[in-house]
Amino acid sequence: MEQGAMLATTPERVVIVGGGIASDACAAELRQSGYEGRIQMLCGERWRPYERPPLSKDALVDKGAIEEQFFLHTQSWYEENAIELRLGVRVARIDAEHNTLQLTTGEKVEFDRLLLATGGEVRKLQIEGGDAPNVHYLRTKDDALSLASALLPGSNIAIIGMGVIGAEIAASARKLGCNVIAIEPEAGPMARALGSKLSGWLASVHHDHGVQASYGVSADRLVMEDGLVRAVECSDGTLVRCDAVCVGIGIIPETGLASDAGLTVANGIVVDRQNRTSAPLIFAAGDVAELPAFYGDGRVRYETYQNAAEQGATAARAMLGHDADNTGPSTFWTNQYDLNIQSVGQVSDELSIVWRGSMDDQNFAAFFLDGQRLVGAVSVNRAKDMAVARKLVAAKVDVNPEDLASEAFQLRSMLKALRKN
Amino acid sequence: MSDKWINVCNISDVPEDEPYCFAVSAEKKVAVYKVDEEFFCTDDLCTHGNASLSDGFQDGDIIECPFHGGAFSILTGEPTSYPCIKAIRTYPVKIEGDTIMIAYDGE
Repeated sequence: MEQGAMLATTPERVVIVGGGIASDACAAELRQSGYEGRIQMLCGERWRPYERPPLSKDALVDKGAIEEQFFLHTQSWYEENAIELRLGVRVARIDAEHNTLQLTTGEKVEFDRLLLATGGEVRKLQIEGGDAPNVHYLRTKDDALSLASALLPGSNIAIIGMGVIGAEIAASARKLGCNVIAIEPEAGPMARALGSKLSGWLASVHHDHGVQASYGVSADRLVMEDGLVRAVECSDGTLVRCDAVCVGIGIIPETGLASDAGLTVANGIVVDRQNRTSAPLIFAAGDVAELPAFYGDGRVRYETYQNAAEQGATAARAMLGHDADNTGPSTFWTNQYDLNIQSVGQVSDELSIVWRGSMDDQNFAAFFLDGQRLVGAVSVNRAKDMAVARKLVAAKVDVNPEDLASEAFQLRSMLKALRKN
Repeated sequence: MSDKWINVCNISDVPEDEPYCFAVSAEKKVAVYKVDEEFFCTDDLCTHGNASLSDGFQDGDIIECPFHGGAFSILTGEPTSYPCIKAIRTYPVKIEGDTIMIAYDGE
């Protein structure tokens, strides 16, 4: 009741902390929704918001790619939309009771609504040498430029972690002519994201492209020489000699500001379906936010592009008291070699899989069913199937497996049937 | 402006809500759409990512990019959904007999 009354007042000062896609989408949606007050965006990096997905792909293969079409918006877009971009600034603390925050410079900033889109920091190797100069982590534009300069043709690159970032770096490094040796504790690349069957298939793709991989082993020790890592010792005793190491073992959400301010934090800043935190005027979105799951009663934290953008926009609408709901399945895509892999919803070994198309031709979709209910899908070079699958999964529909498997069957017709009901 | 009309496809190639992709040159593809019995044409390449809009989901007069969830108006080319912010180019369309033609100046 009180919360509703508070939000009935129109905000005049929105402050956004963070310079990623959730922040940018929030600012864009505020203006799109007719908000005319102040928008201040406090970005920690030196750059205006940019695209992170190319950092592990085009930006490594073609350094020029990082400049063109790389930023989310032109500088003039921010000016035309009266979005005050403040680059290279850090927030020291938030005072949730008095709706102010303080920068590390001591400057105070007042807000009527606040978005925390602080993202995450890369998880570092907790072994000696994990911060050596030839050990690379990838999160920012600067990280990508530094990694790109290490991916020299003929060099030996050890990749620790074959999640989506590691697998993308492996593909980019092969394209550049590096020798790639991958070390991954799971049984295959992207095992948690794709399930064991698709992970096994992706392992064979990387193998065919010349990646040497050790699955089911971890990196136990870094062998140092003159301050640089020269080899990685694995848990099975093998020694991987290398010129550089790339580590992709996940991120740690940057929840410090929120927890210091007394907001509820679990595996991320806890938010509701409107991306509102436990403080009614403070919102959180993107990699840092933990929201109610699409399935069941659990809570999830997504580290994906489209989900981050949607959450930023949801927060913007909620700030203005408009209808807002971030309920939707997770989605992600990855490009490796000549593959475009897209995913939506739940993908797990406990579900049954219906295949459409041919794995051998690298042109197929895998549908994940819980009984009759379509709960997830992965497409490989089949964006068209995925465009429909996303909507079917979001609608939580029951499906006929034979229809999904039949190439003669038009997936779209299932959507048309849905709309009539 | 010396627009040249070029043949693109037959009207039966473009069902309602099923965009049709046509290569006008080695570098350039266009997407043709049918919206309420009328035909429209835009660039096929999304202005945001490296995606083919004809692989996307057409919902009436909106085409959704198959990669990142952005969308455009098929009628005007204007972006309608984040992260797309730059309009896609549209082309004048005319029908002669059963043939769909677009005005294309070669650029």
